[in-house]
Amino acid sequence: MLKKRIIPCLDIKDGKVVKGINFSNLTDVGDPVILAKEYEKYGADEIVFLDISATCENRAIAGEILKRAASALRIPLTIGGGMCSIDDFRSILRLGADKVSINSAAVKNPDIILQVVKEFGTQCVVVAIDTDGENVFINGGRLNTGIKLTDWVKKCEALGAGEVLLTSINRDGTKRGYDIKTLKKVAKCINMPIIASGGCGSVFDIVDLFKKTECSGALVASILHYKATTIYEIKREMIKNRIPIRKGYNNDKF
Amino acid sequence: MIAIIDYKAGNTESLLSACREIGIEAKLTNDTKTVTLCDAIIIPGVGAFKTAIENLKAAGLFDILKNIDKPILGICLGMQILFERSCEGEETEGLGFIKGEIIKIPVNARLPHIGWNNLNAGEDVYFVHSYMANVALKHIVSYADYCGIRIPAIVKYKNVTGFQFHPEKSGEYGLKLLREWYCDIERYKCLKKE
Repeated sequence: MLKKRIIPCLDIKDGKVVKGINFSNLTDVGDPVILAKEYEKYGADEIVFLDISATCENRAIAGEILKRAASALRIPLTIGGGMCSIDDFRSILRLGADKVSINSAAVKNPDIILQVVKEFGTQCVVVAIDTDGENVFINGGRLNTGIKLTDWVKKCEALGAGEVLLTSINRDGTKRGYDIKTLKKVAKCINMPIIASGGCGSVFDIVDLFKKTECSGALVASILHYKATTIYEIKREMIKNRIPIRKGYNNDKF
Repeated sequence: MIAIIDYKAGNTESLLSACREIGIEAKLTNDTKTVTLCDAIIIPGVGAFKTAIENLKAAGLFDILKNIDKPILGICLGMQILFERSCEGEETEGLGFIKGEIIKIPVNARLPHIGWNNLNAGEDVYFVHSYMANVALKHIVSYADYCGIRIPAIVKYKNVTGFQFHPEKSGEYGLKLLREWYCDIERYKCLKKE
């Protein structure tokens, strides 16, 4: 049986993790690779590095970090932030990312999805979409494109994208829970896996998400970074609610 | 030494480091001579079947691999090209080591099949694919169940092994499976010497 994924997202700025992640046993809390490895140990099913300082002119996730992460991690790694061209995909994938997420650039030039799929395959393209539930927003959720969300996800699927990472900009940072209504709506119009993002305030929001929607994974950030909970606790609660999870190998903690 | 075939098919960095971690001496290569001289071969790969075959042909590796008698491990798309043909896109001929063809996963559920799924007699491993092998039961070592469809996860025929999942992305358990394959080829080498 396919398991529901818990995916920690690390925001990275100028090569360092921002947001207050705090593992007491770590000295360098800013190193994305060390933190990602720590999350892996705690049961993360995948890791996302989101480069929040990246623009088209300036790639801040240095190749060196990516290479180290690819070597160190034994779970899949997605890189996002500031992807503009097929060359960005090429270099990020060569350095060791398993998937690349693309947001604004895909809206501006949808053909880029087609090109990447042709060269690297469906499995590596994650389309990240920022939405208020109705429309697609770009430029970090600041600009309403006027494009209908349902139209855009269908188009992404037709172009060959492998997954959708759907972020609710109304919920992001509010801890009011995932935007179930929108996620259900999107699940109805596409057949590819959906990762939910934005609004998670507790383990119960994650349980709620998986009970009420068909989402394949939950992106979690703040509640882990600020130590409101741990991946252990999330997964324990998921088991209680009979949501299928990956049990770590040689890991009897569940 | 193990040759990991480099035909520009995705993330090989983590496979190399996984090999390093479990003490397998591996080298990323597209050099025909190295491939001919190595002890065993890993064919990695993600992406489209046809592109993979074209890249192998362009590197002059297709015919060499087809006629090679060494332990081979195909991973993900690398497993799929071990079969006779694929109907992904237009029908394309594979290496033909194992009888069978690659078909779209005939499932009424979300595709690609992405994420952690357990082997029928084993732990969770990481899959990411939309196509699967349609192969005789006798070649299937392990499968994963996806909404009622049995997806061949480990296939084996003579010296050829295929993993549909990514052992290099499947935590400790993935490393264990990779390690087991490696131990098998050591045995194969001894048998050959005898």
